[in-house]
Amino acid sequence: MIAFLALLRDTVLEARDKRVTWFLLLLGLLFVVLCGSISFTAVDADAALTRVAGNLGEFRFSRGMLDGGFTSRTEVEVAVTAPRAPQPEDDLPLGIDSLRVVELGFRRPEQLDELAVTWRHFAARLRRDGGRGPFVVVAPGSDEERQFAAPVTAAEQLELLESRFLDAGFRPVLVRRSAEQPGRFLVAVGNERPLALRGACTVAFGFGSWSTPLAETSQAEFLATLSVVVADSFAGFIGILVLLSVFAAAFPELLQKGRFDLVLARPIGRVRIVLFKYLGAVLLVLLLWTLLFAGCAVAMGLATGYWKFRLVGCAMTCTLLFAALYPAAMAVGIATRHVTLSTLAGVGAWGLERLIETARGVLQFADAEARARWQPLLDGVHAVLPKAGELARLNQWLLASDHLGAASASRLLGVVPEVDWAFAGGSTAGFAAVLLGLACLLVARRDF
Amino acid sequence: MAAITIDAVSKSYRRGEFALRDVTLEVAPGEIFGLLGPNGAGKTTLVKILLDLVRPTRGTTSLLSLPSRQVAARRRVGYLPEDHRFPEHHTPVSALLFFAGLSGVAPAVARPRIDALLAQVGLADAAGRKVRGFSKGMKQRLGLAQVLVAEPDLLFLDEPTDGIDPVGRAEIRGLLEQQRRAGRTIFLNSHLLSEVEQLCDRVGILARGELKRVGSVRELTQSAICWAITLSQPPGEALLAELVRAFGDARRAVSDGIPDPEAARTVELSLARDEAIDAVIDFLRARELSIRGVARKRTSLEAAFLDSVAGGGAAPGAAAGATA
Ligand SMILES: Nc1ncnc2c1ncn2[C@@H]1O[C@H](COP(=O)(O)OP(=O)(O)O)[C@@H](O)[C@H]1O
Ligand SMILES: [Mg+2]
Repeated sequence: MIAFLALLRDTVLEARDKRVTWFLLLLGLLFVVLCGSISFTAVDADAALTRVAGNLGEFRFSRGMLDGGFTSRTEVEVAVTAPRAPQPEDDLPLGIDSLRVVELGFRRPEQLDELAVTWRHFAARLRRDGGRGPFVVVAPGSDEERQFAAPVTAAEQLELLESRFLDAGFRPVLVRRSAEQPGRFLVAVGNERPLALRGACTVAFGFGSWSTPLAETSQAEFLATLSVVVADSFAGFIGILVLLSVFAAAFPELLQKGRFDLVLARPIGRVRIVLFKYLGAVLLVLLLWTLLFAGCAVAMGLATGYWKFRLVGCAMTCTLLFAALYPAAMAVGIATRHVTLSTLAGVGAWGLERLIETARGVLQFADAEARARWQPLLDGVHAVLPKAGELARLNQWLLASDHLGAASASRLLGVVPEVDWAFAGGSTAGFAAVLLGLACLLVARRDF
Repeated sequence: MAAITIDAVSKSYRRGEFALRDVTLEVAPGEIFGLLGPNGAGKTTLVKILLDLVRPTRGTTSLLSLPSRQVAARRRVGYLPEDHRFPEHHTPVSALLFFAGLSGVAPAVARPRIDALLAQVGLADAAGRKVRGFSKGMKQRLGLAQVLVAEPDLLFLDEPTDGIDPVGRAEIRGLLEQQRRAGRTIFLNSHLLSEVEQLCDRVGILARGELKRVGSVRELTQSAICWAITLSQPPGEALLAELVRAFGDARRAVSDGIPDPEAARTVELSLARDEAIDAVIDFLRARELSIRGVARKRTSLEAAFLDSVAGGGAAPGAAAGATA
């Protein structure tokens, strides 16, 4: 234990001595300040209600923040009344607070049916593959085409309108058809969860010095997005790069002639030195991320009043990624005693996994022959590499579930593909264990 | 119980070439043992095998009755490598805390000890400075403090005074004397004879991986009588060669690197019989060389050393003669 603490302290001093460590801390601090400088204007539910009612023909589908999405527009002419409080003649159910009411009048009621057909296609596509796959044109005469072309029922019309307002974040939503006038609907919405209401406020950064309206996004989605940027882009990308380069230098420097002798002559086994150094680095990274994420979460809470702490859990996933990649840097650092090669090994294992993951995605659209040739190779290499992509998914899932309901989480993140967590976790741990073992073996057997 | 046991150790780094050949040796507790040998003799290799930094090709070693391969064997051991390098992110205090920690000494225990040690080696003023800017001498002092920080019973010092000025050397000798009085066993590697002569109880001479002789300084120096003849001017290579041809031995006196005009003008030779000195003086006078002093002394350790080292090949004197 004393020896472990001595090595841990040595690792801290070593990291402190490097300029990039301070660069990383400074950048982390900037993120904390950024999170603390956010403010939202009050939610304007009426404006959001008017906007949704005026945009009924527009379906937006997002495949996740970093993946883009698509929008479909159908021509719909609709007259919208100004939002108002419910009146007795509306005959709405009692006991629902602060409902707001608009009336919709379709000038050409057949346009609502066209919209409903578009909606069928859209929903089918989401059901099929979350919008990830190629756009499939429905084959003429197929069952599917017949389903899509079937007459639109009255219930379906109501369901469509209801879903448009639910999707915008209103809860509850009541839609009623006017008995007297065809093409007229009464819509009553509640605003039980202002955090989830889309396009209803403005966000300001830098303590109000720069602001922008949230046209398509709710506060919850915005905060989740910001958290994902902190966890994935900053910590999970820049942070891991910097930390790998800081800690990759540890072994080539330790093994320098005249330096390792001093350590090896002490009553501590060689394998233990390697494992303790590894464990120390991982613990430090965990501590650093925990502090950073806790700082961001507290700053965000102070600034916006929403206290969400799953972000701190992302420290664990970011550290896991580091813990999986670092052994590669260690093994190469010990074998070559070269700092740059050591860093490249850690970053390379990561880059290769991302590259193969991308190649596998591209290969799905290739012809059968190319698939048959390349798929086994890509799958095989991918199987042994640490699963950086899956760990990033874990982050996104954690953050989305903190702020968002299931529907808006899937809108934000795209449909999360099925992940075989046992395989991803097992192969990542296996990669780390094998390289760690190799590092130990290299140190244990050599003359110094 | 021996403090150090070396049993038939051989080491070849590359196939065929032996850095050590069948070395067997024991060092008793409380002894100061000096291992002498020219550069490349295998001294460092032997110490590294004892500390399990290098694995022997054949043979076994043990420290304080524990096999070197066991981690526990190093529990009561301190080591000063020959070209040690301290991690540059450390200060003397943090470095010593680190090494004490690796030996299982908790910071609370180590802290007062470190303050005392730094004062003892003369680094108290630099205790909080980064090692990065240290001079060779300061690093060596820190190295010695590092050896002593876990209060070892057995000390390995590889060329401890290499590159240190004479004042520093005297200080280091003082420190080692103090350790001797405290009953510690010291294993000293050196190519500097005077140092070994002044400090060590027993000496081993290592040449080309083989342990040529082992004995007390007295035992090694009693075997022959040595004459030192001081001339008016330094002897030339040609003269030394002629002397070797005529009397079998002659060499310049060596003064351990400290410039000494007297030594530069002195020729040393070992003679089997005392009467032979007359012939040597006649020989020198016949060449019109002016003699300023003649002294009779026991063989220096250096002579024994050169003798042993020369064992397998040409004697240094003869080599000088051949090139003249
Ligand atoms: N790591 C090594 N790899 C190969 N040869 C080595 C290594 N270390 C030492 N040697 C060789 O072993 C011999 C003894 O070296 P060393 O023990 O350093 O001698 P000394 O300390 O007496 O100067 C030398 O010939 C040296 O070249
Ligand atoms: Mg040496």
